[in-house]
Amino acid sequence: MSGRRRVLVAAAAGAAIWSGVVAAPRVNAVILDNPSPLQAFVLEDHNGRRFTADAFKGRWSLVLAGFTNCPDVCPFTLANLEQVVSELGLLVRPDRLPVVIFLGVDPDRDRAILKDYVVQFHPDFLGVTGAADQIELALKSLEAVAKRTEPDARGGYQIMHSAAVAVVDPEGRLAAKINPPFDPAPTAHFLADLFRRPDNPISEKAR
Amino acid sequence: MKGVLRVMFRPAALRIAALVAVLCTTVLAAERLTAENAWVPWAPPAIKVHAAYLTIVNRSNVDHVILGAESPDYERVELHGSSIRDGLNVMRSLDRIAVPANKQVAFEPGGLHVMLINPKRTYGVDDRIRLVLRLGSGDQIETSAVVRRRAPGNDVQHHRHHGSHQ
Repeated sequence: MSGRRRVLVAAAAGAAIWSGVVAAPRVNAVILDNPSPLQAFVLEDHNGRRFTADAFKGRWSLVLAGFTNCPDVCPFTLANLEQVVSELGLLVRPDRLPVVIFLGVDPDRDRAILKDYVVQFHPDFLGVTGAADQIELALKSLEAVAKRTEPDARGGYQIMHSAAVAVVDPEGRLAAKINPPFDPAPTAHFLADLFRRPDNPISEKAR
Repeated sequence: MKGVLRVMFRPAALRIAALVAVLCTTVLAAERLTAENAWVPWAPPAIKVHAAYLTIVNRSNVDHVILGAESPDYERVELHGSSIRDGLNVMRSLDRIAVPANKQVAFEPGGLHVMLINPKRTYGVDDRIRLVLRLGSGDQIETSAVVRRRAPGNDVQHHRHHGSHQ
């Protein structure tokens, strides 16, 4: 049991996803054999409160990187995660429900509207952002990346960012990554199974 | 004076001829190429970049191409495609989208979208956003997109992924 990962494909066969065959809903996720603790960083949440790696402790979190000028994929993912958490509510105890965290990787444009952008999907969703170097540290811990594209003629730019959602456990460790699509029901079942694994912090306490 | 009169009259005649031609082709194009089920997910007033989704249906035997879009309700409009490349969400601006004969092209979450930048006012649920798509033929398609809340079924279920719009 070194740092190797196990590729876990829940529900339908993974091969169908790549061959373009329309498959039953599935989850394309990776569970880390050894969850990796997040390195220190200091960000701010959308209420202006300090948000550090320690803020992850005590509950499960689903973290996605994105930017508020993203009108398509980021809102679509947040809407899907709202559905995932809603489905999870039927499967796990309320204290195991994860918080959804949106890491705004475009701080200059994100800061002013982060809260509006995030809470439209659920009032409990939390937006965080901060200085570029701190965002980099957070991304690195989450095994995610974000890159600004070359500006166009008008100076406009987009940000390419990891599509995966990071699952952080209640001890503040990266436990899994889920790749799109985030079909709500299978993703919720995947997470419920993950939360119930005997080696997971809250599961042990619950026994 | 004669020369001046000629200059004054001829452009007017040309303009009328051009107008008649444009009206005819617009009607023809509208019969063959339609924009259907256009909608814009509702966003809070602070959010200034929106997306429109719709389906372009080409019922003709002629290939068409969309070269751009406009809206009197936004400062700027662009055609965009989202895809996933090497695990990254990538959004790029597109300057042409093919709509082959007898085919349809869906603009939907995670794929193609009409990016709407800087709304001229605040839009609420059930409001209509005017959209104009410019075609390679010189024609245009006009439609209006309804502002709707995202809900299960209208986007979550229909997500295609892994960059099918290359």
